[in-house]
Amino acid sequence: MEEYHFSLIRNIDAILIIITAFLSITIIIYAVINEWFVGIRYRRLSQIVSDLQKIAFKGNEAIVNEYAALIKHTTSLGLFRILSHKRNNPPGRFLKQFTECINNSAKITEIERIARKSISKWRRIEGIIMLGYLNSPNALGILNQALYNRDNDIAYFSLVSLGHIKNKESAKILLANINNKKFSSYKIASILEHFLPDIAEILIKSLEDQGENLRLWSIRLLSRFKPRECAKKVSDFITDSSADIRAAACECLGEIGAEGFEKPIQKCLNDNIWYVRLKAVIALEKTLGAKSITDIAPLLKDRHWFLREKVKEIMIKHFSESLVFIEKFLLEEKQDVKQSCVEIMDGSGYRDKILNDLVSGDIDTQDKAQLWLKAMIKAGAHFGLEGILSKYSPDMRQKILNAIAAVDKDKAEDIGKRLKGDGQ
Amino acid sequence: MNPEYILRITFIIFFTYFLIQSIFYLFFSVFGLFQSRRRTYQAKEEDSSVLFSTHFSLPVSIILPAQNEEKFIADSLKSILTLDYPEFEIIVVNDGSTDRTLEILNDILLLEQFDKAYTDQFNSGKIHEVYKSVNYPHVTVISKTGGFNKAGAVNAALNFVRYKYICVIDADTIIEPGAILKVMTQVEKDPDKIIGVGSYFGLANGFKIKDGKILEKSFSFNPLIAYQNLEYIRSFIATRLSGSAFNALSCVPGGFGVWRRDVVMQLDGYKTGFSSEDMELTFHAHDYMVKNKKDYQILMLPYYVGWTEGPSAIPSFITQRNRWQRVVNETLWRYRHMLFNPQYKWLGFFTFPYNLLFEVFGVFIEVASIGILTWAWLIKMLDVKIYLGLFLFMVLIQAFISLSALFISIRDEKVFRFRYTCYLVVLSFFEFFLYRWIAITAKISGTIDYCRGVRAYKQYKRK
Repeated sequence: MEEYHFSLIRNIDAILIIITAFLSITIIIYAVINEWFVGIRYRRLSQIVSDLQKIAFKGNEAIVNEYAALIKHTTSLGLFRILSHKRNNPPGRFLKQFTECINNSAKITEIERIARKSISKWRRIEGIIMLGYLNSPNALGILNQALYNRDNDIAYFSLVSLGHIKNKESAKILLANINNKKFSSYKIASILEHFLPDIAEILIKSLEDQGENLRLWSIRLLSRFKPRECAKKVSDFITDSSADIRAAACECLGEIGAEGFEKPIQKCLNDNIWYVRLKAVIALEKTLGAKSITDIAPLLKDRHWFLREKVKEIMIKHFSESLVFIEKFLLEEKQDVKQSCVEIMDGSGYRDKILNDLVSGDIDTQDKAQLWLKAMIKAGAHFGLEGILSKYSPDMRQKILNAIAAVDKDKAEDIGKRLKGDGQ
Repeated sequence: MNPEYILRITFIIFFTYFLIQSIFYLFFSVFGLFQSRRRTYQAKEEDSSVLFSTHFSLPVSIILPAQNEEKFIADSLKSILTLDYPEFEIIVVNDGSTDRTLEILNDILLLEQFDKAYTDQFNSGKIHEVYKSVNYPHVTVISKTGGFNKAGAVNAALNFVRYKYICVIDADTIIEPGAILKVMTQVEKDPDKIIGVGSYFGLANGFKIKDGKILEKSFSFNPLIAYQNLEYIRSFIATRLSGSAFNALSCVPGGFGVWRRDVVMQLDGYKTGFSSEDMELTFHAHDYMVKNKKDYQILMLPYYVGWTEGPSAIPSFITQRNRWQRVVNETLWRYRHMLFNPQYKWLGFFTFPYNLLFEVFGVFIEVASIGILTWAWLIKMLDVKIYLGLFLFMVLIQAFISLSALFISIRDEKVFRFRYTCYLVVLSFFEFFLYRWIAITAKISGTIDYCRGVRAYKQYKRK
């Protein structure tokens, strides 16, 4: 029995020794080959890239002939590495000549064959990506077909590759796939964003589509291209049932800066959804500038903090127009609104101005500053005052502290104590 | 009981345990290999410049909880500030630090107190101050009372985040410049479905780092660090990567994890009652999505996104592993309803049993088996040849598991140089002689602490 156990364990151990030894040797050999191979591959690629640069300086005739010779001797994988990395591309306008040379050579047939039916999935994907850079006559057809491939990676990289062919046909194909659940709308939009503005007419047409997602992304993309002629159509979406579309429509109108469309945006300031209100605030400020404060300032009391922050930022930007609202809001009950007012005054440098006015020679200015100070202190705007006061000379500081004491004696004492502590 | 009978049972348990472990690892390794290959190619062929320059990128709120991190916070923060990503905000949480953490933050960021109205929605501890950076307007610093573990610090930041995705990064981690870009490229493929993403990170011990930039990746030859490197590879490739292939990932690492904010909000933030937060949150997210019948995915990616400082002394190592063991026990107990529950598919039938068998009970099975076999050998009931044969068997199984993970790693992620690879190959055969026993000690102490109700997030001492 014992002998049986021993022989069993010995056999298992022997198998394990062989496996682990094999794995160890494989890892070591792989690591050696890899370091060696990476070096060779790097040197070869550097040589090609350097040759490409040299050819580029020889003049047009030489370029056509020498590019053709270089392409002939470079593998399709080498060409992929040159095309897919910007640092390896031939300089400036020579890239176009280089891709034309590839399209006119026999290599393009090989690349198209790889993109269509290479057995190796990742080799096929490299072919697909290359077609996007080369934009050969058959590229659109091959890529469009590959979009519907069962393999998600092949389909995805066909989509990415279509993005390299920046023309109306590829834009149409990409837009048609925005409702395709296989692809992310974000991805398609980020690709289309890099197209030329002439695709705007396709986007405007898409606004009539039944699919909500396509309408939404068309509006979002239009806000990047900003064609003025679409403002009317986009403004119709301000009352859309989808909050995302309403928000996108506001953003688009704001980006276009279309005058005469303020009214629909103003309506969205009362929307139930916070980000629609936010986009409306931003759009209105972009369209009307300082004049928008009248509509925007009441949203300083909005229940959503992110929106309040945006309003605050805009009120700081257009502070003189906001002053009348700040004065009014400081008298209100809500502590956070008062706090926001103080932050606006602080952000715009107005708090410093009030303190300076308090110690100025002019009596009228002093009285006015005293009133502001009272409103500020009552609103709890004493935060950070000791920091500001420490910049003043002891005399000036005392004068300001006296003014504060006239409003709130305890607060003045508290600030005075902290200032002394700071001094120590 | 008859000693021979005990020995026979031990023998059976011993072999069955190691046989199951080998099958598990072999299965995991094969799927890890395919998954690693696929993701590596995806990243290689991706044109990330599109995502980098787009208006439609998904902005990310980066949360950096820091408690007494004066040694690492500067480099970590600087590495985040220079990330290649079009839109992100950073929220640093100074979690009751008693050292110079806040002072260092102030030196880099030039902080200004900021009175912000917010609603404290989660269990996070008292927030004292909120600061805005003058130098970097997209950075907010929150100073809060400690005592709610890392989960409390992240919860505090959740009150302030603005973007749809959050990324929690440890304050001792140096992030690779393209980390968020690589991860978010995957998220962007299906943002409705992908709710959480983790990725590899390795140990920065031995690296030359200046101002948050890694100047040289010189991996430490300290055996304790090298073994941890090996263990990280094993864990990321052999279990997490393959778990991700079946949407049964057990843990999005706490050192670097991206989550969809709405999901974290639905979970009521991070749970503060656990020793650590990462594994619990991952199980909680699975549980929530399955119970609500939502289509989702939690991914693990094979890209090195960051480098963290690992414990370089045995007591620190034990402290860290003790906490890891506790959180495994706490999580598995909390979500025990998942075990063999068909609703949870691979998570219930594969990941959960794996964790239960090898991460919770494994250590006891190993120790008991070895103890009984040694006793049997000492009382001359077991022949020395058989005893040594069994011992060799354990060494070789361990080596086999490590080597297969190492092979996948060097094939796809070429981070180790030739010399270091050879060093790891050699170390694989000796793991059972010392490192394994230190890890076993930590696991046992973690289990004991778990039973005693210890839930503290003990930070180990760093050099």
